[in-house]
Amino acid sequence: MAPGLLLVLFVTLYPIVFAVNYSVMRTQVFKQLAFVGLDNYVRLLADPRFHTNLLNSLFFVLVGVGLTWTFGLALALFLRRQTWGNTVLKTIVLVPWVTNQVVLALMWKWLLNGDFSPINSLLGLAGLPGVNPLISTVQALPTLTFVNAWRATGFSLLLMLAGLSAIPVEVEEAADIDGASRWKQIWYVIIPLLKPISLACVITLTISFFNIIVLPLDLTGGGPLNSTEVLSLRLYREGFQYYNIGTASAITLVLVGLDLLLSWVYFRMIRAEAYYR
Amino acid sequence: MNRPRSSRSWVGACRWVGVAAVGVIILTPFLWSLSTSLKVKDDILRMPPKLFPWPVTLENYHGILTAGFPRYLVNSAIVAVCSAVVVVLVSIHAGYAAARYEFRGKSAMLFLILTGMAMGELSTVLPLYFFGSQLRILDTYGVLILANSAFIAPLAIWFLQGYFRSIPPQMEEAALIDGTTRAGALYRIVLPSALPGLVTVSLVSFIHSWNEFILALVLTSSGTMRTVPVGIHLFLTDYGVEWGSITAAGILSIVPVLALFLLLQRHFLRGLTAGATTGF
Repeated sequence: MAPGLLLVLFVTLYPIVFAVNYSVMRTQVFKQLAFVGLDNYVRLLADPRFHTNLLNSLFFVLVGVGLTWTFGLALALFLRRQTWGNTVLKTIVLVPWVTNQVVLALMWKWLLNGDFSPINSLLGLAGLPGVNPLISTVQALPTLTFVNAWRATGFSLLLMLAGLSAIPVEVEEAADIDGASRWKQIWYVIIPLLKPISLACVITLTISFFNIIVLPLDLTGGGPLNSTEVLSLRLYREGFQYYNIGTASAITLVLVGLDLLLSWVYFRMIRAEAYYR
Repeated sequence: MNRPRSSRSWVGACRWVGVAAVGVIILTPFLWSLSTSLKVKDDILRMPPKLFPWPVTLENYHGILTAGFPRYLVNSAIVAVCSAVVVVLVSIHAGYAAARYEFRGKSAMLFLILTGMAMGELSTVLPLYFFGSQLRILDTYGVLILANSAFIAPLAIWFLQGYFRSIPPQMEEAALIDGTTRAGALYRIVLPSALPGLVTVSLVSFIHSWNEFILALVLTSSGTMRTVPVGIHLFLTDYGVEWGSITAAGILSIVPVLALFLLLQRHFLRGLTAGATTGF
């Protein structure tokens, strides 16, 4: 019991107290020079680069979670029946999810690398111009978002399959007899019934996407021109490249605040859900 | 759901095409890297690119395995195995206490655990670095194992307490009446029936620690302490053009996790879905 609690405190209370403490200080590496109140926050709020970071993170998370959920649900509906082929495909979809992100980043970097990319040689055969999305300020963020959704789809597929298996066959049979088309069944019957597990899926993904670091670090490095520098990457840089521990702590609290707010919303929604049943 | 036969076989064919297409999309980056890692040097940067490696060579793998890479594999294995052991030991007891006892501050504890699950890894990096430097334990296996297991502990405790709750308490009660201690009941009666849950927790911990990057990057500094992801990351930044070696290292790093995952997949999926649907 006690060791467990200690470990939990180590990653909850301690980091929060630490960040609160440092975020109101002017710092030189880990040395606290002077109390500056909310200065670090004020400077961040006035910093255009921070605004870009926030917008990038919002795009990356909202679009990414939407894509991941949609891919997961579509695949789950598709792979619901237990056949040999479906089991194999399910395993394949899970492979990126258990692979470490450094390797995923390097694989995509090598695949999309303009000059020697097999995609470009195939496009060339079809008479189309080649692509090099990672060096385009417009295409890099959507590409990063897509790669991340590709990575996490295995997770949402698992949750959606679990959710689908909990829906009784009779429900869909009834809808079928009533003459509802396949699309209507999905939209009016299946998706509403999957609401609790979708919520679990969406919140878990949101938190993990806000905190992502390796994929953007190694795939785009935040570039070109900071167009893919998400909040978490900025935090990493402030902390471990510029050693601005004060600023880094302020960003940490923004992130933790977002995480906790989302979890709280999620918790409330689950409670409400349980209440209505 | 009875549709005419002809349309059904048409639907069946479409399904197979769909399955194949999704499989290809998912696997393309892996296959392209695998292909590159098996190519001879002159073929890697050939224009237009060759899709298949011919002649096949293992020289990239040989090069990686005679450089520093085996050391990284050993480091990762040590950290991942020890973290999984620590997490399992700790979360069994904490999870059991949370599932079976009522005590003061229990709801505060559960709230803390939920907070822990909501904290991103990144938020804990700075404090852990500071902590490690104060205790002078940076750049050791100990600090990596501590950081990894602390990070996974909330999820593991939460998952196991849900799992223990789903086991009927009557068996333990019977054993207690027969004169067993609480600990005896836990070890001899509850744990055997919670085996799938324990497999899930250890597998998740292992995979997480094996793949963990940011803590390992920040908390270690010497070349001999690097884990696999950190090693590959530094390869990428230091020798950004040697794609043969880099892809070989990437493929090698996936093999242990993938093998373990495929081997224990059944347990893993069952435990995970049970946790996701009841544990949350």
